[in-house]
Amino acid sequence: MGEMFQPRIVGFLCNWCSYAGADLAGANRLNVPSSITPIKVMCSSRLDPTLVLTALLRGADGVLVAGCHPGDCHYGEGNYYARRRLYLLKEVLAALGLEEDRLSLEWISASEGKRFADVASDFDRRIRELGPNPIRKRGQT
Amino acid sequence: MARGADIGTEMPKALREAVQRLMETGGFEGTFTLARTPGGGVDYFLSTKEEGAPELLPLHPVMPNHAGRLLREMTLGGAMRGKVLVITRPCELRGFVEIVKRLQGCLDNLVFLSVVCGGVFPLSMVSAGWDGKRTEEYWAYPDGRPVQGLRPACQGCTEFIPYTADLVVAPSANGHWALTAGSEEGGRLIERAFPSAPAAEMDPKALEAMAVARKAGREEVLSHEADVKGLSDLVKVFGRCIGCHACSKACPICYCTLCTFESSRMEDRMEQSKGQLEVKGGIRAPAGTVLFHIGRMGHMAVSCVACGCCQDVCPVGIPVSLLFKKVGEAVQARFEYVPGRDVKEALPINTFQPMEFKEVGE
Ligand code: SF4
Ligand code: SF4
Ligand code: SF4
Ligand code: FES
Repeated sequence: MGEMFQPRIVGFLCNWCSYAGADLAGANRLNVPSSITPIKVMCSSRLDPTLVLTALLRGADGVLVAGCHPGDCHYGEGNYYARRRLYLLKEVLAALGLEEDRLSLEWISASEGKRFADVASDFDRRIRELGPNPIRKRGQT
Repeated sequence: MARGADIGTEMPKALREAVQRLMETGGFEGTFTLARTPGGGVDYFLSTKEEGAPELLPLHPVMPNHAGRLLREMTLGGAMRGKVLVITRPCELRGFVEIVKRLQGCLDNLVFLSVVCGGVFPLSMVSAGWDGKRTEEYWAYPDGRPVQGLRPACQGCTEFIPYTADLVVAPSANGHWALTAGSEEGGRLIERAFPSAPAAEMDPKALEAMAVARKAGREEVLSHEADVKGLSDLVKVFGRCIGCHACSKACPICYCTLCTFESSRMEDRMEQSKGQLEVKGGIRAPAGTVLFHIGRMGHMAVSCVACGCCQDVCPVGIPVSLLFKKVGEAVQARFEYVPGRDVKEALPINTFQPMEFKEVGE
């Protein structure tokens, strides 16, 4: 099963930084794992935790949220609130015995194409180690 | 601790009389309390001193509605006009404080009378007909032995002493009950209502005995169905959810007029479900029940006061409040937050420190 496993990762990327960082990684022909499906959001704080959960409960193997570095949020403080919300969501998952490691939050600026490639590869590797989301092939939810 | 007045041993009659005196001497326009409905049931009423007011049953041991939820509706448009004596249980007061922090209610003009809380019985027990003997047993002086048949949330409630009440009914020494002051306003009210009653205080021994029993109760109620460890347990326990959302309707914290989980975004249309069908092989209908519960936790568990109202109304017997309590306690502990402790304390999701939680983002 391990060798067959092709993870599907949803990447919620902030328009002002991480999305541009991902773009730069592409323009520089850096190696970015194909497992990541990028979705552009206007700010990391745009993410209602429900969106992250929706992805995970519909079968995504991992969710990567990436926003501007602390202090650099286009809207001032959005990423600080996003960090609290996602931290809270991780606590909720952990308390229920769910795999909180399938959720990751990273700061990537528009000029950090290399960092985006590294973060994405690293997360892809961690998800491969975790294996498929157990919610797959489970009819109940 | 501020001065308290001995109100004797005859509960709940003594409490009714105390409320009467507070109403007569405290300059209140009305009181918000449980009272007898014309049909013989029990519900919250806002009533004045005038004739025709229903028979008051302050702190009758049921929670037909969460008072915090009702007070939100009554004060959303602004402060209550005139001073009102609000008589509720500690988790109701805490729930209301949480909703005030969300700017959905107003504390002005409200004076709170609460209790060192012995818990309440499930609603089902009330609709089956109330046995007067039960009231007597219920108000027996607490010796730490839990009353039989309380709601599970109450059996495991360790937050049974109110934080912000002006007046607190509490067990005092020698089997007596006391009306104690929780604020300066409460102290003044007691002085005016009971100028000559013997002074009395909460009995720390009774409180300690209750705390011990509740801690044991908490272990017990959280150890069965609510002991969810991983996805399969979760799917099992929420598997019988019919998606009626009664739990969130009864919840004091869930105030959104249009709940995310009732928006059209949550309707799983066939074309959107294709991908899911591919990966999962099958999807349960109604879809999204697990999403609803975990999502709701993500929204409000930080403020869950473990009142038990959600579980009380669940038609299929899911231990909703225990699951929310379990998750709520975990989340609240991480933010060192006690919902309803202090209205000036910021909600953890409405504030931040620039240099915190390095382990999440970096
Ligand atoms: S989730 Fe349940 S126990 Fe928690 S505050 Fe809401 S109704 Fe009360
Ligand atoms: S679940 Fe969330 S969106 Fe729905 S009422 Fe509760 S807080 Fe509001
Ligand atoms: S009240 Fe019970 S059945 Fe209805 S949505 Fe809540 S958990 Fe599901
Ligand atoms: S704009 Fe990028 S995180 Fe707020």
